[in-house]
Amino acid sequence: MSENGALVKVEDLQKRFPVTKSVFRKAEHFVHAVDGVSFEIAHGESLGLVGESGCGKTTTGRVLVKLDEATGGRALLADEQGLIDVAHIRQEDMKRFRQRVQMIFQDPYESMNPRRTVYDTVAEPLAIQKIGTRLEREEKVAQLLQLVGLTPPASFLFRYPHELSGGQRQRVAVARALVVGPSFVVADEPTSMLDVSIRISIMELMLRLADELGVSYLYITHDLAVARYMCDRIAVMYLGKIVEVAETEELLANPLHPYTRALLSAVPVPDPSYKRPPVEIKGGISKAIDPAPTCRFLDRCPWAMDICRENDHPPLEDKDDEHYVACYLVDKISA
Amino acid sequence: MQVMQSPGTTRQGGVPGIPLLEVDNLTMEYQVEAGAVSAVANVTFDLEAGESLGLVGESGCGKTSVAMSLLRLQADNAVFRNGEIRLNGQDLLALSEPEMRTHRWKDISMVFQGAMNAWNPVYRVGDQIREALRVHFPDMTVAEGRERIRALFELVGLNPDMMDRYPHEFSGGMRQRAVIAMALSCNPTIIIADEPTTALDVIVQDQILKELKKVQHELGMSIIYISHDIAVIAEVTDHLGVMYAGKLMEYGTTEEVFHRPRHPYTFLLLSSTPSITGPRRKLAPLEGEPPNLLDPPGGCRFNPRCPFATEKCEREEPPLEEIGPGHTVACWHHDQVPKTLLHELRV
Repeated sequence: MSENGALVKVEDLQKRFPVTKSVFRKAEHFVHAVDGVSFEIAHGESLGLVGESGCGKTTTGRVLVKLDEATGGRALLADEQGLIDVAHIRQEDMKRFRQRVQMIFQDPYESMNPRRTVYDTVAEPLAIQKIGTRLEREEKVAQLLQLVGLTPPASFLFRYPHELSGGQRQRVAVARALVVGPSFVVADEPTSMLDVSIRISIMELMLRLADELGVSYLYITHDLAVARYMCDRIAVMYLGKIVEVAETEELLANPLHPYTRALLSAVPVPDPSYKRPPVEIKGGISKAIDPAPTCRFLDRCPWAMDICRENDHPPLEDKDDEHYVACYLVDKISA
Repeated sequence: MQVMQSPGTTRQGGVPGIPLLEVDNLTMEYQVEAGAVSAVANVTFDLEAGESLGLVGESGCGKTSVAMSLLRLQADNAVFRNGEIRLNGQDLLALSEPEMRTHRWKDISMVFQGAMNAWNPVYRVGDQIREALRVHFPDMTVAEGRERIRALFELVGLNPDMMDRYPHEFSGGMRQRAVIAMALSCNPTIIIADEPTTALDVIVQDQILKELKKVQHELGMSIIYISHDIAVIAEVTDHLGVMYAGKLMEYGTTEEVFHRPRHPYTFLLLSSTPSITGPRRKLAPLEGEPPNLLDPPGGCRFNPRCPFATEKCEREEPPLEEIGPGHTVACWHHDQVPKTLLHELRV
């Protein structure tokens, strides 16, 4: 944990949603949205969490900031006072937790209250945490706006969300997330609603602030090119399971899991003369309702064998120098 | 009734000697309370039979306004100030609405942005397509209609039995395939695909784009792709038009524009696109925001954000000028744009 430099340590995290026909009936089936996920994020490191929609990446993020309660496992967060277990947090630690962990949402048009000014929005976490006097808060908010490039701050403080462009709103969202000085920020597709030209400036802003303020990100995205730009390591998720984790360039150059290989070969490349390899898998992601005790990727895997059918989902194993993969056939496929 | 071609046969398109579609100096404004929004200004391009053309640019640059104009489905407050849209030499803007109706869907059809979420949930998908067919082919029997939809579903890679299912039984990718089937139902010569894969996952996106390419090839259609995703455009188009603030800034073959962009906007757009291939590199953000088109900047509309802008750019608007075979650009300083993208700067 803190002794080996990890800021966040997630162990066998689970989140199941009941599927009920009526509120009076006991749930018999569950969506295994997050199904035994483990990973670590070091101080100042950014981990990308990628996968198709419905793979559980957003739920993982929501559990880590406690917008959803975990149904199993642990998620430990280190700070100078010790460890906080997100899954079993004590009431007295709640305030401390909210100071350490924040979230940036996908849609800057939806995540902001249209009737509150930029000042209200950014100062709210400070007010809830009872940090500073009103004057100090104003100063802090102005300082944050300056930091995220909304200058001069005075001209933005009392604007409403509809008076801002998409890029400016997302800057406000970044300012709100960072105003209490968190060490860990879950960013859920923070740039996917933005135009290409504005996207890079928000990404650059987040990278710069991570560096200056020592923030670690769990960066959730479906866009591998964005994950490459933002993250030190990338974890690939499929139906509630992490199927591969590695250092970013290693993962892109050397994908081991058949799903990662398919995902990478499907990403369009901004070069008309580049010819992509064929995508080896078909169809869309299935639903994670009561998954069978087999490899979760079985029905889409072009290499599936008896071993994948007869055993539960393979464990995540270190294949080579911190390159983890969960596949029984990894040696056969890469050969 | 005109005998319908079965999908799968190549159609011979157009009048020899002239392009299939010519957009000539198209200028369109939206009338709003505060004045006129100059959404499309002097846009000119051609589309040949069987060609695929991409239109790229930021949101609000006029891509969708151009597309809607081609179908004459522009909003009620839109006013055409100038220009012509000629299909086989005939100006569509001069047609009456009933005359236009004979071209819409049959000659030019469209896959609308977000259409996959616009299926009526209480009707079977096949019935909704048959409804569209019935309007254009009133004499078609139910059995003929079903046969036609069966063929269309097969063409776009859907199981024909799915036509008797409801939209909620389709996945996102399947709904989008059905939208494409519907756009193909009247055998159009031109399809406009407005962000056809934006909401889809990459693996499904890959399948849909391949399917569109295959169908285009089999039917000899032309496709206009509209997207903000430059990587998608790079893969599926032969020609590319880059729009900014209602203006066509650069036009050429996709190959040429990507490898030798000559407009500063294209150059910066390409320099700010991340990729999973090639060296990991620093990307250059494009500073500022697109202008308010109620009051567009004088001279070149890109001048307030352009690193190469001079006083001349604020005063005089650069014309679209041919700088190489089939490569046009509207910039006074196109010779100053660096020959290599900013990608050279490695992280």
